[in-house]
Amino acid sequence: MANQESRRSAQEELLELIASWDVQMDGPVDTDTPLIASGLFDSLALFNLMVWIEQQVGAPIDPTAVDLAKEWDTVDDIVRFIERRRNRGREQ
Amino acid sequence: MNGSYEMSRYGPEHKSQVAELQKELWSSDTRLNTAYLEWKYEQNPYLDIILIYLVWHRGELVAMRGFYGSLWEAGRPRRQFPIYCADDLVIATGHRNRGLFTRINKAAFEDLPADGDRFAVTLSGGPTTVLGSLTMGWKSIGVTQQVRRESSGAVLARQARRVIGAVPVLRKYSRCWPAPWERDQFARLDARAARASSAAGGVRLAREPNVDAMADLVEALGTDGRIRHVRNATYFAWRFRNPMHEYRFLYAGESRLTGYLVLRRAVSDRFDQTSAYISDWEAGDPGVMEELLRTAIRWGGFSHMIAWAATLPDDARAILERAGFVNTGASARGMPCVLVRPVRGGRPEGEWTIAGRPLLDLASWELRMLYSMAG
Repeated sequence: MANQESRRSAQEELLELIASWDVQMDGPVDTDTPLIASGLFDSLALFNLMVWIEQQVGAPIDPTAVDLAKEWDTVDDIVRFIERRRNRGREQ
Repeated sequence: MNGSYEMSRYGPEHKSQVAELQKELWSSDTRLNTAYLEWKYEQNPYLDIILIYLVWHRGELVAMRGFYGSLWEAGRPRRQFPIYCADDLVIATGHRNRGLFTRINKAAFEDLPADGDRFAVTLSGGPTTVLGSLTMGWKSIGVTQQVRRESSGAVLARQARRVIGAVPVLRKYSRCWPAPWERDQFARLDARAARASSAAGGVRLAREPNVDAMADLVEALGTDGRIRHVRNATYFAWRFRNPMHEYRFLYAGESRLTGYLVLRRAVSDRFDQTSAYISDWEAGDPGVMEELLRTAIRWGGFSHMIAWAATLPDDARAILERAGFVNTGASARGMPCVLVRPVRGGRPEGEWTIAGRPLLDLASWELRMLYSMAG
């Protein structure tokens, strides 16, 4: 339950952030809207996204070791990515 | 994406608009930008066509992506391979987050002439370009592992700035940076080299490249078969005319060189003007390599020196370490890095090879800053 709340909160925060980045999407952005596959999520937005993800994870991310098109394509994907990284951090 | 964007390939009639747009990336000086464009694309010895892609919005140039020619070699015996170097991506401030990055790159790769196994590399992309590229089929071969040496004077100056900056009435003085003497990285080098010309263990300084002697040395030293840029007289003669940089050449040996070290500093106000970069460094004997570096440090007294260390041999890395170079720690994000991709997509990564060497393995490469526009 707590996990679901935390996930929803992260989704909402990210959706708000994306709205603030002034990305010109074809329609409203939802948790399953393709951001990268759409081609509209530009390099600058990706950089902002990386910084936000790093804040959530609490460690630098090496994006060259991530399949961005798969793992960061939607808000849902990104939140799942953060959860995986947090869990990995706890295990180490 | 907004349909009011149009794309075209560069033509000579666009030169002044490109120079103006590139004030965002290259320099604030359009004359310097024009000279750089002409040198890099028009005078490039490896491509006789100009592959620059432009995006227009209501008649105004708002984005650009360039591909300049380069010639690489690998294997034993050596084979040569032309490779496109992707560079100079700029999107005007008011037109970012409109999908132009994706559109310009997609169009470029559909248009680039590609015979056989042609690859493209990105040697000096900034973080945003790298991130965008990773979503478009580019892969990193590894970090360039930037190492840096800070002089004791620079450390003191940095600490003094911090102290002064903490005092409100003095804060404005801490912003007087870089100091004038830090901007002209070569003034002290030139003066000390002139005074020490006959007493420097055979090392001498020049403002011009001795392209034939440098190429002869590279040829004499041979290759271990790793992928590297062809460094012959044609390449050196073109490469060191880069108007964005000023170069100095330290030579060891007489008419037949036993080693050289090339330093560069930025001319453009858009780039770090307070550091001296080791663009290229070559010698058969580690003792000569060390003497070249020690002499450069002694004469130059540089506040900061920067080198790429990722693929240097162990003895060269040890020389840098002994001279006080340390890892900048900037590679936690896997950057700065070199990216590669085939010009035509759809090829499995296992087939990304040149002369049988896997491109995604850093050990396949001999990377020098000179190959990138950082050098």
